[in-house]
Amino acid sequence: MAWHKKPKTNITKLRILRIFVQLIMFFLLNLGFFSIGATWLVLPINYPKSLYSSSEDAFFLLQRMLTDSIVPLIPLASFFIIGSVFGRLFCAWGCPFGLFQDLIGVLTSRIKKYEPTSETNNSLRQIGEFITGATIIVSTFIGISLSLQNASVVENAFGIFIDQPWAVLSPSVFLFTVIPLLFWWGGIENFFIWEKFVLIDLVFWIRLLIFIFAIILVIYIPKGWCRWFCPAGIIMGQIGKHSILGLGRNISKCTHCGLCEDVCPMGVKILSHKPEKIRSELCTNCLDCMAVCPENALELKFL
Amino acid sequence: MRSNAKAFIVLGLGIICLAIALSPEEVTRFMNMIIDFTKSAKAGIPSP
Repeated sequence: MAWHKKPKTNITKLRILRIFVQLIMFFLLNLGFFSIGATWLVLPINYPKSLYSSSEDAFFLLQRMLTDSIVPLIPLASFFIIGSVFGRLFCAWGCPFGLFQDLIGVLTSRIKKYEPTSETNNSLRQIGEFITGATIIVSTFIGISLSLQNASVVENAFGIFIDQPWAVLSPSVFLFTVIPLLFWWGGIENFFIWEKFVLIDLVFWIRLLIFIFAIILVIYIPKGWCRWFCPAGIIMGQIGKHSILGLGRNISKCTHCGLCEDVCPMGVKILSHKPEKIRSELCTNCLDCMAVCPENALELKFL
Repeated sequence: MRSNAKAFIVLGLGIICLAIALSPEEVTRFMNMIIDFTKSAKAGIPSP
């Protein structure tokens, strides 16, 4: 049908625009490269502290504050304020690990993608929620233990998880912190100084394995890491499904063609949600559904 | 409870957290922590 052409062009334009915005955000998050140091910006995105970052990842800061026995007011404020107003908007438009996943999606667009069933989605999401909850509980426990006991006893008990438990497992730490430290630290003239490779230890191999798993996951399931395992995404999903900004569906225009569900990178079952607002913990307001709708039945709205 | 009401309750909580966090003592503590954090990252420790 003729109308298929217009949505296809729209969605290509929108995806290019989104990658462009993500690249600008990545540039703004790395102002340290231009000797602009740490800023006050605490964002609910998957971008841990790296060599040149000028912002803070809210979830990593939350862990850090809990393990230091500090009430994590600023990360909580970041999650609550940004999540309640914009939902998971930053996941689609500002997260560097989201950009990495989008780029992998573009590079492997010829490979057949899989859409898991609702049951698989829910089960894997529960694993992510469990990991997020466990990370917060362990971080709190480390903080309390450190303030009550000898630090060396606690360090022996928690081992590699003592600093920030999720940092050991997170593929974004491997991509944005470990790899740049291995290769870029010390300048281009020291690119292959082998002494730097003493940093390779057990934690390195654990991170590498999880990183490879994340890449394979994302090749076959679009935004697989965002959907199920990103702790910031899981927290933002719970807050963001009640956000002020969100997508609504005009039922007088909607023909239930299902194109919106087909293109949704997060696999949201848009047509099964109430039309006035799509309240899904997975929706990142990427607007792919809006761009593809031939009837313009979907719209971004406040309240 | 309507979703909009939930959104405003969470927004209010966020603003309260921010207001407490921006008290002068908290600001100093927070900035010191960020500075320490940046120094340790630049000292070559792989975990952030």
